[in-house]
Amino acid sequence: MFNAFESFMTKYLTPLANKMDKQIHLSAVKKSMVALTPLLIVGSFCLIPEAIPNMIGESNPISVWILNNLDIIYMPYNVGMALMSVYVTAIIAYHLANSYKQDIPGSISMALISYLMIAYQTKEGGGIDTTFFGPKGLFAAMFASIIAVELFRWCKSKNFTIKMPESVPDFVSRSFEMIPISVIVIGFFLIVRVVCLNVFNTMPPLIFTNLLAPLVGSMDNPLAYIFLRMLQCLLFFFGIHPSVLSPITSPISTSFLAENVAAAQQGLALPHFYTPGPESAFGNFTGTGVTFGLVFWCLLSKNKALKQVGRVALIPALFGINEPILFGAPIVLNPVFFIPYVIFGGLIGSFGALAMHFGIMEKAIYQPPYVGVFLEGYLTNLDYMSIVVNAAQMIASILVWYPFFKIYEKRYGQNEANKETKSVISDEDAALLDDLDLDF
Amino acid sequence: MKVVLCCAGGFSTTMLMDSMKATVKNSAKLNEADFSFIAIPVDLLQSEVENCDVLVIGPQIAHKLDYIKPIIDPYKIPYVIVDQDTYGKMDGATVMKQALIARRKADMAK
Repeated sequence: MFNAFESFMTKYLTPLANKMDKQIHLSAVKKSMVALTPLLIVGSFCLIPEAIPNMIGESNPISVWILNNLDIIYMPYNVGMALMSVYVTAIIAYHLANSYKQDIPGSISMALISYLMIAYQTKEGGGIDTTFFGPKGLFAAMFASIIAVELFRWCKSKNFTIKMPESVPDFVSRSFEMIPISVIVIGFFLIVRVVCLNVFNTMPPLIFTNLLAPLVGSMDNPLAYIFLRMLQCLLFFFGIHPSVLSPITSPISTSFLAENVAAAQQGLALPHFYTPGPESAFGNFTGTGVTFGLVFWCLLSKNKALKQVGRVALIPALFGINEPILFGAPIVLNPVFFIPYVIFGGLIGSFGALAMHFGIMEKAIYQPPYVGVFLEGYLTNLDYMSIVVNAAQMIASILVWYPFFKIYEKRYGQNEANKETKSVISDEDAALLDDLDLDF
Repeated sequence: MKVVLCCAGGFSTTMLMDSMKATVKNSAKLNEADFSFIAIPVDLLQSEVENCDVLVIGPQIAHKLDYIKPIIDPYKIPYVIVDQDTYGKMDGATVMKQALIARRKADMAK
């Protein structure tokens, strides 16, 4: 039964994961989200000073200074995180141009102008309205950037460029080459804007928001979230790193974080639980699928090999890394561990999201760096409940893994007795190894 | 010899890298100064591929070989995919052996 399931999954899941990883647009989107991380971390830190007057009173000099200088304090947020779509446009264009080996400055400027063409609007009374430069314009930014670079590539392949004589310096001829391309790209986005405004009576970014609303909104739903967590565990169960999903999930969680921060700045209730900080601190507590329980029982095992696996895996687990236990125990492709890892791992990994959804724990506005379990959770929302939730996850994980570990430990002991140790180094290679004359 | 290790985020291979470094350090026959190690997320491979002598790939990204090969093949860089068992044990000595064998094979093929 399991073998049939396994071969079915490796036949379809692995090629799919592989395709997603190789897909250059998805990969560019993923990289752009990773590149945003510093802006997000610094941006959310900007919220901290304003909270200080609430804690120490408003009449002392520190509070007065903070309240008088909020403009400066919020500067990194206002020009960074609050304008994230602009950065995303440029970064996606860079990565796409890089993989197409296409003119990078040209691609970036085409992407930016295309994006601004559909996201720019003026305020009543003058000035630029930045509404769609933030998280609300994120999907429009991806669309504009990808389409602009693709149009650029298409124009090049169809030779819609101006050829300059050989004697003209390269950088000069390049800017002339850009003229027909610019006309086509800019013209296309101008038409998009005019059609959206006059036919649909709406700004282009709102069309993406509406189209993608079911997908994006589903991540506010606890059941959809639990499904996502189980899917990630399922991928890892087959030895595929769940980061293959991140081109789809990370734009959503990143824009949710930005919306939470914007809400916090205005003193409103935070809308979303699915944000990057808690994903790491609660969703992947001690590693994807909350595998701490297995590490715990391995450590206590009388079997020497399993105990050793536990020892190797303990410290990384405390920093949210569980590859050693995944491949060491192993959990990967081990039928005994399918239920505790994929089903219960998905459920226990959802504790944080559920606690936030039902108002037991504060939602998050920070994205802390990897600082180790418990502290990381606390730093996402500065709420003591996060420590309780993490502790509940740890206890649940230990309880759930116990019966499965005992079954496995027993089988492991039996197999060990009649298994001869096979080296991973083949005989042919072993001969080479003798040549190398090593002492380890 | 420059050894590049890659996995999804660069975190778990850092552990493997430390184990490999310790192996080299404790070995009387290998000179520590001859080796340099770096652990990176596979997405950054393109920028670290130059001067790389052998590439070590974590099992969780073994499915990405199709993505990796076009990057390393122009430089004729040999690679080792660490098996799950060795990776779980973070057995740097075995991986070091595999890496040296892979390099030696590439040198002999030249």
